[in-house]
Amino acid sequence: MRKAILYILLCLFAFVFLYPFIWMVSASLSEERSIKDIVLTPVHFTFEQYTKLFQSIPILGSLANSLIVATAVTAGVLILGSMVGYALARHRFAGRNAIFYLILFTMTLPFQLTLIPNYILMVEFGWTNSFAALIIPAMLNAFAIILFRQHFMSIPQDLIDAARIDGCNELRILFQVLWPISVPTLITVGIITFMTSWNEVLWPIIVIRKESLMTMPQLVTLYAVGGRSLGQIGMKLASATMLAMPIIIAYLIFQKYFIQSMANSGLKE
Amino acid sequence: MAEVKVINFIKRYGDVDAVSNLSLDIKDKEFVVLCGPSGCGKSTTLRMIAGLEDISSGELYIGDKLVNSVAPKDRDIAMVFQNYALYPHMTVFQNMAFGLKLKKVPQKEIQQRVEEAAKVVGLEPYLKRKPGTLSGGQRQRVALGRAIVRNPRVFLFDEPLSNLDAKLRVQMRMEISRLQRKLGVTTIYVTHDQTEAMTMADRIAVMKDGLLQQFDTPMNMYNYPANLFVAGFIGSPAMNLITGQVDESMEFTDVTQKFKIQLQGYLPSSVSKGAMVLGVRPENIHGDNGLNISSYSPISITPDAIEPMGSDSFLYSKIGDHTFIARLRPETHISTGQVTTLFIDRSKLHFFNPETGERITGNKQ
Repeated sequence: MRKAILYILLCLFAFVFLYPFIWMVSASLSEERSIKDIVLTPVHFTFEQYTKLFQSIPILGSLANSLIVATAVTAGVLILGSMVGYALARHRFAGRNAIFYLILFTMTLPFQLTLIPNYILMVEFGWTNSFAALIIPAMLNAFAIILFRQHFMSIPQDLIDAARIDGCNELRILFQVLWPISVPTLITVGIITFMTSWNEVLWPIIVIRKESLMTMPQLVTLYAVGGRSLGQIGMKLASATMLAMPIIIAYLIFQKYFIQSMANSGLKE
Repeated sequence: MAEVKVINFIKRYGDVDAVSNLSLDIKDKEFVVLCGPSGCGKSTTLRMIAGLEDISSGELYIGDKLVNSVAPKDRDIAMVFQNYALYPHMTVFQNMAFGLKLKKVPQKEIQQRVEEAAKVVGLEPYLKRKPGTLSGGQRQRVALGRAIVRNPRVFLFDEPLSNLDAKLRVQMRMEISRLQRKLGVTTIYVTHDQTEAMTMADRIAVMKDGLLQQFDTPMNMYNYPANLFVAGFIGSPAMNLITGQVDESMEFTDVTQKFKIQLQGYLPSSVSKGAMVLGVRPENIHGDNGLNISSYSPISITPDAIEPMGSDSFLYSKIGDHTFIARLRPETHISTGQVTTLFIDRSKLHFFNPETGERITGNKQ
């Protein structure tokens, strides 16, 4: 009986959290004039909002841009983050701890603080209005390094020694021996990085001006907030749904690893 | 196949020497066991030989070649680790083939060599399985197979049996010994278990606090321990070591004055009266002297506890602070708490200098 009450309560809370999302999806599939109602399923089902959306902005192009940027950033973070994490966890060298604490310290700096120096750098490098500005600065991040370092510290030294005797160099040890047994950590870092990169709005708005290079959140934000949606709430909701879908699909596929790794590392995002 | 020469090895961590001035001359095809308590430097020594730790000072020769600065993979060694260190994401076959693949051995030869090695360690039916689905003993066999397949000049074992249960340990001990003899590969084996050392080694190197205590054959080590540490370390149960004095009449009396034994004719010639540590192995104490052997000397003790092991019975008693252990035949009838006469075989006694701890040698006077 107590369990039943607990489940009812849980379902209630889950519904409270899910409802705005459900409403967004069903409203985006309803007629513009029915959107004001509080509903569960679409009223007068139609794809009209999406058709209009596709006609007014290059949303598919921006989807491709977002995919390219988020994928490149994620690959960079996984490769470089694991390399730094491995060196910090498994190599003894002068200044190792100092470097680690410095990396930890950068986590405490708010993004806004580095926004202007970073922008000036991008201008100096001539990277504004190019993917380089979106990808390269995001390719290393402290959170990934720390997560990898903690994970690699838990791997028995014997395994690394065995690989070394078998003839592996450091890169091979990392990518052929450690990566295959670190899948949950890779997936966690991958999902978090991908989501963060995917949802990034402020930085792209600053460094990208060309519409053909814009990422989806940037384009959708400029569209929904910037007035091009002509105040039509249905189209705004359709663009928001388009924006959320890829990340939700990715999460559903990888959620098992994601939760497992979060539980293992004892971290909460 | 190769000799291994360890010359004046030192491993320094800051101000601490984990290994001090260690020299070992290991012959071709020899099975040498490095043995000692935790922290004695035995694993560090092995890791230096493998190339996994830098040698702070000293020289290492494998064959005729100085290999101090040679990478582990090029030292022509294979190592078996305590927790097997198998690659969990690879099958047994891939685990064994990994090193050969990196050496760019042709695929056909890899196949053949892995299959041969698998046959030697009895793993043929398991080649397609992953290590996670194997038992502890099978995993250790994969680790052995991975070492064999490389066809190395030297095998290094770092406490390979510690994670196995007692029965399996005895079985694997024999298998490793047999395999080593069959393949004739020079082997260096690290363990803290003196039984493993005694049963497997051609020669044992006993270490303590980074220092070599004695490097000798198991029987020599058992019969002529070089110092008090080796005397207490080799042999199970451990040797009884009793501190006391020898007087003019060559009678030994322990510090509590309760234990007396006449040593006329059994002391090394170099001993005069004075302080001494007397060593008696539990197996040289007997419950009776039916044959009237002259070297047997009676002592009176009161047993605190008796442990019947089936094949023998262990008798425990107190002499001062020291727990005195005797290994008696199982049919010996003794009850705890009652004064009992036992017989010490004086021809098998060991004598040590109480100050230096060194063995006192010399002909019996």
